[in-house]
Amino acid sequence: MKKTKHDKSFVPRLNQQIPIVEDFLSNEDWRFEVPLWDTEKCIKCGVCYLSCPDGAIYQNEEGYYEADLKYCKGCALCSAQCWTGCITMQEVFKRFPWQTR
Amino acid sequence: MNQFPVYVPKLLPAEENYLSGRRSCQGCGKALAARIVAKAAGAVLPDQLPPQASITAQSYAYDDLTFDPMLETMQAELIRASAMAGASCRKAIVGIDRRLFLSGQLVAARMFTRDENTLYLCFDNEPHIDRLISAANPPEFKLAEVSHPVPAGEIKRIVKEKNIPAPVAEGSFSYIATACPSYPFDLIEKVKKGLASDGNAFILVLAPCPTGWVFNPKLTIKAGLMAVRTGYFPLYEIENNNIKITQKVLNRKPVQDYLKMQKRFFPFPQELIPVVQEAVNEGYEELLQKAQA
Repeated sequence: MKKTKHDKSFVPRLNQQIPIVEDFLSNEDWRFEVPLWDTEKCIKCGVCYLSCPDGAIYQNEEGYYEADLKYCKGCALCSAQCWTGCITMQEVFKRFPWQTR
Repeated sequence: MNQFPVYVPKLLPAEENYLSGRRSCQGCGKALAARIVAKAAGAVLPDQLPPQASITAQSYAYDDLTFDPMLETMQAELIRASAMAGASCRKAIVGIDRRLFLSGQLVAARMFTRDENTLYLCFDNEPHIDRLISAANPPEFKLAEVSHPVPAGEIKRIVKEKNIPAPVAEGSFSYIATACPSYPFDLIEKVKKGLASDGNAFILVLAPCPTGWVFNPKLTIKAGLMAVRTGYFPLYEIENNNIKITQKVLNRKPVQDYLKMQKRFFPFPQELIPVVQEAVNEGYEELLQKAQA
C-alpha cells in the first residue's frame, strides 16, 4: 500500500495557489480537480482502480478506494467509469476561461 | 460484495508494476494499456537481475535512434541473468509506438530477421489518420488555414492501414492479436496467451489519445468502446492461421458517432463520411469471411 504525505489532512479549497513543485515525480501542479468517494454509495467493486491510467488509486484498510494525491492528475476517468455514481470531482484550483477543455 | 467472484481485487494481482510519474498526459490511453499489461505480465525478475532489466512499464520517450541499442542491451542482459540465476526467464515484452514502428526500419528488420523469443506490443494512437484529415504535403504560402482533405479514392487505403500491418500478418509470428484497454480482461488474456506461445508474438493495442485526438480526457475508455462497437477497430486474434473474433458486434453503430467524438475531425468534410463507412464495412465483412472459412 502506498503512503503519502497528504493522507492525514487534505482540505480542498478554491482559489488556492498552484504549488511550485520540487519533487518531479509528483503531479500536484497538473490537476484542477480531485476525486472524492462517497462511502455510502461505494460498493467496493474496484472499477475505478482498474481504469486509472496512473495507478494512483489504492485500497484502504476498510476496503474503500482512495486517490493517491501525489500522482493523481485529475483526468476524471474514475468518475466517468463509476456506475454507482459515488465519485464526484471537486475543483481544487480555479480554472480560467482559456483553460477549459 | 466480497462474496461475489466478479470483483476486481479478486481477479487482479494487487502488486503495481507500473511507475507512475510525469511521462503521460491526463487520461492517457497508452499509459492505461501499459499499466494493464504490466499487471498481466506480473513481476518478472529474480533478485540477481541488474536494475536496468527490471523496468516493466517505462516505455515512453525513446527515439528511433536510442531504441535499438536499448533493446539489444535489455535482451542480452535478460539472457545473461537468466543463465546466472539458473532459471528460465520469462519472455521479454517490448512496447513500441505506432509512429516509431512505421518510420523505424530498425524495429521491423529486427522483428523479421531474428527469432528472438519476444512479445511485441504496438501502441496505436493513429498517427496515420492525420493524413486523412489534411494532405501530407505542406500547403503553399498563405493557404495554411484552408483544409486540404484527401481525395475519396485514397481514403479507403488509409482507413484500412489501421489493421495489423501486412508484413506482420504475412510473417512468421506464432500469435497475432488486436486489443484495446477499454476491454481490460480481454487484453490481459491476450497478453497471457502471447507469453505462453512459442516464438515471436505481436499485439496491436488501440490507445486513445486525448491530446492528439482532441477530446475530454474522461472519455478515453468510451472512445475505445466506440471504436470497437462501430466495427472501426475489431478485436480478433490469429493463432495457427485461424482467425477468431473475440468481441462480436451484432448491431454496429454508424462511424459518424465515433468521428464526431473527436474534434480533430472538425475540418473533415461531411460528404466523405459515407466513404469512411464503406471502407469500415468492407474491412469488417472481409474479416467475417476469413473467420468463417
